[in-house]
Amino acid sequence: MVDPARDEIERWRRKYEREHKARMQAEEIAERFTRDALHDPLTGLANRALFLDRLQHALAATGRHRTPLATVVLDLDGFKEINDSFGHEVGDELLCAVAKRLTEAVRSIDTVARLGGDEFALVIEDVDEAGKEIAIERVKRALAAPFLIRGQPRQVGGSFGMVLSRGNIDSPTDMLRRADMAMYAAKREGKLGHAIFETGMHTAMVFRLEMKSALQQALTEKEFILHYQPIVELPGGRITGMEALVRWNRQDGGIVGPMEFIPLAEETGMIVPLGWWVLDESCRQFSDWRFRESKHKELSLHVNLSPQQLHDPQAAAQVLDALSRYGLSTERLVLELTETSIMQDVESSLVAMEKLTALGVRMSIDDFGTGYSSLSYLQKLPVSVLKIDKSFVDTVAESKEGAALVRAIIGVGAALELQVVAEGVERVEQVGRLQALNCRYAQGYFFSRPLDTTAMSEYLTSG
Amino acid sequence: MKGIIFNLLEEVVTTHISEKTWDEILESAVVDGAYTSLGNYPDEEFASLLGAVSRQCGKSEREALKWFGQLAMPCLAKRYPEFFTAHTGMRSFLLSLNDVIHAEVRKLYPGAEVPVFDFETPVGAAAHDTLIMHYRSRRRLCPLAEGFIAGASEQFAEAVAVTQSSCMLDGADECLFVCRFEKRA
Repeated sequence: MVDPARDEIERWRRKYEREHKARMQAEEIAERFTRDALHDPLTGLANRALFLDRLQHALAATGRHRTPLATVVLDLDGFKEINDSFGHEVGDELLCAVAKRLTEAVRSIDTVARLGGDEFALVIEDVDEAGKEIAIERVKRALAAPFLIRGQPRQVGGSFGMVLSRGNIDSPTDMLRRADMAMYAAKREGKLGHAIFETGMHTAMVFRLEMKSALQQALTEKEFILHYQPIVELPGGRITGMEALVRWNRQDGGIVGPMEFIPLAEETGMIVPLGWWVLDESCRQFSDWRFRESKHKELSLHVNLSPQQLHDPQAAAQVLDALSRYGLSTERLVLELTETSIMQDVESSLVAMEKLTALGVRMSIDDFGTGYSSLSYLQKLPVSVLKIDKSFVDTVAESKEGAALVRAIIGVGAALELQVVAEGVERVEQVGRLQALNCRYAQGYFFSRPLDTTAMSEYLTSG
Repeated sequence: MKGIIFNLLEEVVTTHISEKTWDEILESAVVDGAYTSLGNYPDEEFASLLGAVSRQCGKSEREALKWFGQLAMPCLAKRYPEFFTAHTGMRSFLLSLNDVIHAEVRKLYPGAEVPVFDFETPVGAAAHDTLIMHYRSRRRLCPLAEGFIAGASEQFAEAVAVTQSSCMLDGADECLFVCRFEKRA
């Protein structure tokens, strides 16, 4: 017999069970939402939101207990190339492998996060001096071993920056920004570099950023000017050529020397348009001087060429354009490359240099003696001029060793039939010694400082 | 299919028939009946529940679906009043389906697979009071849409005469509804 009361109770029991089950499902879904919102779906690591949250908590704890806390920001090298050449799947696999190694490298209480792209970050709590060194070592080791990419072991470097808080930093974004700055500083160090944030870094970074934008503006506003330094013959000091040197005449006053802005211009790639402007402007000015008096017909113009310009596919066209625009023949121009820049990639430098010498332009090795070029390469390179670095010229008069080095360089130059120019000649004793060593050309303050256009015009007229 | 539809079906059955009937429906559909609005459940489970509803009520499945849609509308209006209060009439409510309502539904219920409605306004005299509505959905639940329209008409106190000129259930590529609105005095 059906008992209506029991039936009713049974129905309520079932309803309760259903509702309970539905609630459990809802909780599970809510949990998954939270997990999805706080974790990187690819690697399962904490995402930026969770990372900042954990960092916030850790910073608060550091403030209370005064136990130092480290944050590391890490960026892989060449990840884009791997993605581009092997496809995103392989790139994703690599990211997962890095995530795994980093997780294994730190303690379970530490947080490993993927901030996006190929950028990872760590929060390491409770680090004293020794702990800091251990953490750096472990992160380095995690990346140092090759990764298997498409079954092939491949070295994947990375750079990382670290910042420590001893309760002195309380905002997670501040902490992250400083770690970022240290990471960028580390990037300049090269493969597997690391840097620890220092207080001066912030100021330096701001300064660099300001310089970059000012530089960009300078290029459009034509704030760059050229100075010219005579190159003279020994003995006698008769001018045979001149080197064009760029200066930055800032609108807000003051002339900035090349040491300050050339590295920045190289970093930003602005060296290429700037360099071609220097070539064009110096050709214009040089042609003006050369055609003014026939005694200047034999002068040569030396212009510095950055490695980026050398490898610019437009290099030959740029050079020819500048020369023909001002009616100069190619043999008047000497393009100077530093020994270091040639040696960065000697084979491709060789090819690029040959394209230029094929035009009839001469090439010179600047700062010779500082770039470890071997004599066999020197023989292969299509150069006509060697410029002895100032550091050797500085000691030529004082020390036997200095004189011996300069004598050797001059000997090499003579053997390869190159013109040798001594750079940075400042004192009369140096001149005497260089003459004694049969150095035929010199440049330096002893003969003349770099001159602005007006002063150079006077120098040429009086000389 | 999203749990919310199952929740609505339960609400309609228990409110308009009885809790006991819902129990019997669950039993005859052989499902455990635990649904949370955010969850995803197999479409077959809904089909089997609908079959049970149609048997219980002595209606065809089409009729049962339309019945459900019409009665579910007030429950939806209770849960999501903002979808309704933004509109002064049926016409603007229907026109907001794709771009506003279903867009919001996707935010509330990630992964929700919503039907697509396309609208046409006939040229000429009928332009103001007629709307031609195309319905496309893999699930082919056009009677539900028709029921929703009927329910919304009550919600907005605006009579709508709906005629369906083609139907996916009869093999058409899409369903075509012609809605004629008559403002109630």
